[in-house]
Amino acid sequence: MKPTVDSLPDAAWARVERDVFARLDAEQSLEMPAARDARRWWWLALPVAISAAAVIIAIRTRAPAPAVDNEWQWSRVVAGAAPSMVTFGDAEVSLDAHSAIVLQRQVARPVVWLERGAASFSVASRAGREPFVVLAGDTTVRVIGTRFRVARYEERTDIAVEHGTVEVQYRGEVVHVGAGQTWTTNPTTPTPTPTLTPPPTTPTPTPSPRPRAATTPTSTPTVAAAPTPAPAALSDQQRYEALAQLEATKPDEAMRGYLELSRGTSQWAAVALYSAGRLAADHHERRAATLLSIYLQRFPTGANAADVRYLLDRLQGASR
Amino acid sequence: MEAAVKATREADVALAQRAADGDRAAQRELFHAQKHAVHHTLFRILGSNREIEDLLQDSFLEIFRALTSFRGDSSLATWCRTIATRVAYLAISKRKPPTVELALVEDLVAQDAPTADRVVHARDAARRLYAALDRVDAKQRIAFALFAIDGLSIAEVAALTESTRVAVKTRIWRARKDVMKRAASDAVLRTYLAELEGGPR
Repeated sequence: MKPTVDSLPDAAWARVERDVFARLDAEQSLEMPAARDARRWWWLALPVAISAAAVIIAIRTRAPAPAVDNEWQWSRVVAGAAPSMVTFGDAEVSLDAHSAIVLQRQVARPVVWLERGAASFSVASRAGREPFVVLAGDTTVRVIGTRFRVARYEERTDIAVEHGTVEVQYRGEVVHVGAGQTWTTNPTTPTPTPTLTPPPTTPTPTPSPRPRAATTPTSTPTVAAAPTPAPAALSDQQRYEALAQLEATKPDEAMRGYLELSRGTSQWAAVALYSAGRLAADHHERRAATLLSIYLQRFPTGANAADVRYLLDRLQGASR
Repeated sequence: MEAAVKATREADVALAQRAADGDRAAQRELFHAQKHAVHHTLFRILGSNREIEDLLQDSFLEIFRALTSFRGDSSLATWCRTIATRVAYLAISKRKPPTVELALVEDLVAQDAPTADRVVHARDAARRLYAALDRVDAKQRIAFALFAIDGLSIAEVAALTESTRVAVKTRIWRARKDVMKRAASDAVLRTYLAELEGGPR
C-alpha cells in the first residue's frame, strides 16, 4: 500500500494562500523603480546588450551558469515558545516567542518581513552600506543605523527606537522616529492614523512594544511618561489569540467566541468578525457570506477588507 | 488529442503570462489550479511533516517569481512540480540529520488482518521509510521518492529533477541501497519496501 498523501484542511490552505499573497505584495512593493524603468525601456538597450553578449561569448570559457536563485535568497525563521536570535548580514535580530520573520536578501538590499509577533533589531550604521528595510503590514521601516523594535498585532504596528533613527513609511506618510521615541498605528479608527510618541524621562533599555499615549509628532522630543496600557485591550487580544488556537480542535467554540468578541468596540472586534466569516467559509457554512458582508459594512477600510471581498467573490462563484 | 494538448498549453501560457504581469485574479487562479499538484509533490518527497505549509508558501513564491520563464514546453502542472521539487531539495539540504533512532518492531501484521489495521500498519511503515530516507542524500532521496513511492517513470523523474535518466537511475540505486541497509534490521520496513517496489507501476 502506497503512503497516502494527507490532505490539507481548508483552514490551512486559507493560511497558505493569505501568506503567499502577502509576501508577494511585500516583494512587489519593494521592486526598485529603476528596475521597472529599465524593463520598460529594454529595447533601447538591446543593441548594446547584443554587442556585449558577443564580447562575453568570445572571451567566456566553460564557466558554469549562475544559479537561478542568486537574485533572491531568503529564509523564514519561526520562534516557538522561547525567543530566538538570528544574525542577518551585519544585523542581529532577536525574535520574540511565537513570532515569525522572513529574511530576504534582494540584490544588495536586505529585507526583513515581520510576519507576526515582535522582533528587536540591532543594525550597523547604513552609511556607505545598502539600505536595510523591515516590513510589517502596511508599514515600511527604513533603517539608518540603530537598535529598535517592531511589533505587529493584527492591524497594529508598533515601533520603538532605542538608539539611532529609522524612517517609517505608512500609507504615503513618512516620519522619522529617533532614539527613545515610539511610533504606532492607531487601530481604533477605521483608517489607522500613525502617532509618534516622544521618549520617556529615563530611556528604558528594552522599549515596550505596547502603545503609549499619542502626542503630536515633534522634531525635538520632549519628556513624557509612558502610561501603562489599558488592561481591557490586552484582554481582548488574549481572548482572540486563544480563540485562534482553538480553531483547529474546536471550531464551534472558536466561532462562538469570535462572534461574541466581534460585538465589542475594540480593534479585535474587526479581526474577530473577519475570523468568524473566514471560519464559516472554511466550513462551508451558509452564514459565511452574511458575516463577511457585515464586516464590510462595519469596517469598509479594515485591514482584512481585501481578503473579505476576495472570500465573498469565491463564495458567490461557488454558489453559481 | 494533440490539438487538446496544444490548447491546454496555450491556456497555461496565457494564464502564466497574466499572473506574471501582476494580475491578482490570474495569480489566484493559478494558485488554486496547481495547489494540489504542488502539495502532492512535496508530500511524496518529504512525507508527513510540520513544515508543509511553509514549504507550500515557498513553492508558490518561487513559482510566481519564475513565471516569466514559463514557455509552455511542459504543462503548467509539471513546471510547478519541478519548482516544488527544487524547494523540497533545498528543505532537505538545510535539515540536520535526525538523531533519534527508530525502535525496532519485529511483529508483522498478518496479510488477512482487518483493513483499518493494515492502513495503520502502512502509515507506520511509511513513517519508517521516510525516517530512513532522512539519512539519504537529498538528490538520491528525491529520485527514490518520486520513483518508488510516487510511481513516476524514470523519464518523469528526470524531467522533474532536471537531470538525465542515467543520473536518476544511479540516484535511485544508491538510495535503495542505503534504505535496504536500514531495512536489514527493521522487518516492517523490509516488508513494506518489498510490497512498494513489487506493486504495479
